[in-house]
Amino acid sequence: MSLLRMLRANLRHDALTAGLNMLLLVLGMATITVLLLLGHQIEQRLHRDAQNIDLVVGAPGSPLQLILSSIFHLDIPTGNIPLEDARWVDQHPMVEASIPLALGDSYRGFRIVGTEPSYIGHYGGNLARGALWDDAHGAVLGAEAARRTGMDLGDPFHGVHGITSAQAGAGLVHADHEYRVSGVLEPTGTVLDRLILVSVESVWLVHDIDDHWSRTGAAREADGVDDRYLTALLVRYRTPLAAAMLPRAVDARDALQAASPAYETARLLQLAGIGMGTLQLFGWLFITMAALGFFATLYNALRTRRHDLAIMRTLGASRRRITALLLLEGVFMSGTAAILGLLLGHGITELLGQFIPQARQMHISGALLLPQEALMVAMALLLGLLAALVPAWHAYRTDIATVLQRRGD
Amino acid sequence: MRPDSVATSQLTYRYAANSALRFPDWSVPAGQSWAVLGPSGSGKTTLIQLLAGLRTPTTGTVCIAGTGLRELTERQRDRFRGRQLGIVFQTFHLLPALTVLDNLLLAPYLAHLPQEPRRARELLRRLGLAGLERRYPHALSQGQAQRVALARALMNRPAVILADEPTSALDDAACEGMLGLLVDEAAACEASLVVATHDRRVQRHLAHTLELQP
Ligand SMILES: Nc1ncnc2c1ncn2[C@@H]1O[C@H](COP(=O)(O)OP(=O)(O)O)[C@@H](O)[C@H]1O
Ligand SMILES: [Mg+2]
Repeated sequence: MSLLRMLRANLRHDALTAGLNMLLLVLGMATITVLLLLGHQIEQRLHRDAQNIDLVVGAPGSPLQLILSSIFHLDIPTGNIPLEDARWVDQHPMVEASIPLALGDSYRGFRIVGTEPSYIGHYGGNLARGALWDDAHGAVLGAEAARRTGMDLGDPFHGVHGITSAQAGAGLVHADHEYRVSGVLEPTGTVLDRLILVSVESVWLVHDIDDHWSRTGAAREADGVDDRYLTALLVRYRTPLAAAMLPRAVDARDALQAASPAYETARLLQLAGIGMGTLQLFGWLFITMAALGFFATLYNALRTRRHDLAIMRTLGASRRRITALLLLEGVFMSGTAAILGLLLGHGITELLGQFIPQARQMHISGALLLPQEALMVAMALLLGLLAALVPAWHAYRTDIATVLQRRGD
Repeated sequence: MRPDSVATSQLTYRYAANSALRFPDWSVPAGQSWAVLGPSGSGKTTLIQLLAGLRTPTTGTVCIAGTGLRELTERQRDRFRGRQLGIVFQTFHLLPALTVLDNLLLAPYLAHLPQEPRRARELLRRLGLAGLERRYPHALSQGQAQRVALARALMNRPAVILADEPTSALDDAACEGMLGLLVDEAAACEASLVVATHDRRVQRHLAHTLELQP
């Protein structure tokens, strides 16, 4: 006989009632855990992807859409910007550096991004094997893109026009421009992992625009019409002052729009946060109901268990020990449920990360612990304790002689 | 010489608003078995509870195995009760959530004594309960449950076994059997035995009798 054995035996004895109460708590805990894990990882991903990008310049439209499409590669772009304007931005005195992005095509659901090697450097990408592109046919695969397409060095492929699966499904294949995998990146845990990176020129070539984009802004012959374009520029400021001035200067140009990743990300998280908050409310509702259920159960059990407790007193248990036992029962029940709830929450999150495409793209995993979880367990234990408090107090006050006498007559 | 198992003097108990119950001065030398007889309402249960330290006397003293219960704090009295007394009730109350074996081991566990599963099995065997260790109380017959409760009362080798109406729910044959076991097992543990009952059938099993007047 031991304390744990006794607690377990009592739990098992009224397993149905205890189970139902615990189920509510398990569900509540699991709901909140899933939301916490998702929220945390999504936020972390967003912040990591948007890190060190002060401003995104693209075509006019929804700023949120611009951020989504050019940083997180989630939405469709707002449009394209003329190369002239892009160069203006790049050479603006307040701009420390800019990374060009030319979007529009995809391969088997992975976006093909025309850019420069500095884009890979920005996310700390390293080549696992192979090399960067050195012509308009080379392509570097992000780790996830390589894994999921099954392509490796030297494999040829053709881009498809369009970047959402619906677009690309109906879109035409750029059959006359062949890419070859020239390199594969190590995983970075950023958006880079699920991209296919090529040179900007190659994107123009694919779309029958042949010329040369020069980051240094070398003189450009002014004969003929320049129909080269970019989709967006990721900009880093040279000076903090730029935050106040550059966006306005950019917006003043007809073809351009500036969007702040920090601001839009915060807005996005706030929007998502409202949804998360509502769902969390359900979690807490479950937990509150569970707590009430615990209380009702323990309180009712007290009536039927008064004789049991009296017998334990005649066997030498002190008043305090009986009281402690009842409190521990509440804590044990809620603690067990809390742990089960956390496990379930992590399991569900892991499954979401494995089987929901969007979550998989985000690298959602159930295998991480958040400090808030300790807090949740503590809350659950406290709830159990509170639910047991009144029954335990009643037990403490019970006069066992009277209890035993009623039965004995 | 062992001290008297039970010694009372000047013992009275008053329930609120009622006139006080008075008990004769009484002593039970170690190892003796006694019947406390009297009609219903004569105070038998009250006396057993006073002896068990479950109620505090209005006046007078109770000594169990040489220890005055008044000298003990409530907690000490609880532990003393667990170690020195084996109590058997009319309804043989086992904890329904625990197996037979665990019900027995509960006694040393709650009294902070070493748990001896071998002793528990031995007691069960002696009381004809071998093989029921893993049963739950609801799966026992009335008679089996009674014997388990007796085994539990014996677990801690008490100085005194107190039994309150242990036979009143039983037919003659079961009554005989139960009393035989009580007397034999008390003797085997060298414990004194006090059986409070209105049931005159017990008298011939027990050497001594204390009559309570209504
Ligand atoms: N809780 C109580 N409150 C008031 N009076 C009680 C209480 N319990 C017992 N009594 C009274 O005390 C007397 C003795 O009761 P009890 O010890 O139970 O007698 P017995 O066990 O011999 O039948 C009876 O008159 C009974 O009515
Ligand atoms: Mg009685």
